[in-house]
Amino acid sequence: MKVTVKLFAFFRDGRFKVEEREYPEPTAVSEVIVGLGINLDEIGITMINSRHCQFETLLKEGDNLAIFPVIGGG
Amino acid sequence: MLVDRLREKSQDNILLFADALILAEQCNVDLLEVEQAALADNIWPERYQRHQDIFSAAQQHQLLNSTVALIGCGGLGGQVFEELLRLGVGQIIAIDPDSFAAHNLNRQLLCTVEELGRFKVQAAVRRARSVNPATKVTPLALAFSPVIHKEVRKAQVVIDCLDSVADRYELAEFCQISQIPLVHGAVEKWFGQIGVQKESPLIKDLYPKIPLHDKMTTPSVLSCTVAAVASLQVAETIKLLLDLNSPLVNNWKSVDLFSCEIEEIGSQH
Repeated sequence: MKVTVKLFAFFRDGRFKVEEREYPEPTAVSEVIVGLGINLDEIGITMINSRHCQFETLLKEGDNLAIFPVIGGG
Repeated sequence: MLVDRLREKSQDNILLFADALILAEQCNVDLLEVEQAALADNIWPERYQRHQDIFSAAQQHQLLNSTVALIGCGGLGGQVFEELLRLGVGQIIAIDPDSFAAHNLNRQLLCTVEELGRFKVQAAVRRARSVNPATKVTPLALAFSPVIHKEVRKAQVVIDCLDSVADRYELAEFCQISQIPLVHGAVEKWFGQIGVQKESPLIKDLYPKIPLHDKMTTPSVLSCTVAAVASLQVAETIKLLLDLNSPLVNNWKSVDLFSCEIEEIGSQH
């Protein structure tokens, strides 16, 4: 299935901003994150089609997955 | 009578800064009171003259009558403080338990070589004296905790310039219970985020859990990132104080200075 993955802030460093990627069914959000070499502890918010989702949420064909890091500095 | 003296002294509905200082001394009132009385009579203190095409005198008066609590006086907090002073917010409760170290110099506006080793909130008081002596600053060199809840409840808006998720949880919960709007900001490297919590639990959305090394992390941050995010926080604060609508209420935006992007993210579940 095709999923559009959008990365934010420093997750873009050495990766990409937005990319349409191919994944087997079923694929969970956490598998996409780990597959991109991102530690799950670094994650702030994940959204599918602009709605909050969980690590275990399964992706569907055509989904837009947005991945944000925790940003906590003040 | 102060109003009569204001009318005598003002020209074309402008009260010169030097005259405002003289009136405060002659009438034995503080500068804030002089400026409030002037604006109530549609006379603009000179220092706010360049707000005239943005705010009505009544709105500027409202800002002078406002109290804002600033939680954290480091990077974001220092920049927010500066802008609140220049904006004319009448009272600022400045909260931060820390003192300045040399590694703050790259981005914290209140941190100067002279201020190293001194409390951040005391630096804020000194800055207020030189930028806007009318502003009443309440400095509290304490962490945000129940000890200062009573003081913070005096604010119409609370601004989150903290650097720990655990502290943000506590502040966000306090603001929800106290029904005080919370303007959130956070920064790292070239990136930041900004949001306004009113009814929705924004902070819990942004930080689903407390990170492993929450209070031990010292992220790298650029001064331009700090200034950009802090300025967005101040813009939201103005709108809240003046009861103006904003698309950021119960919502948040991601700020990317490297790609020059500000994206509305939404907070839909």
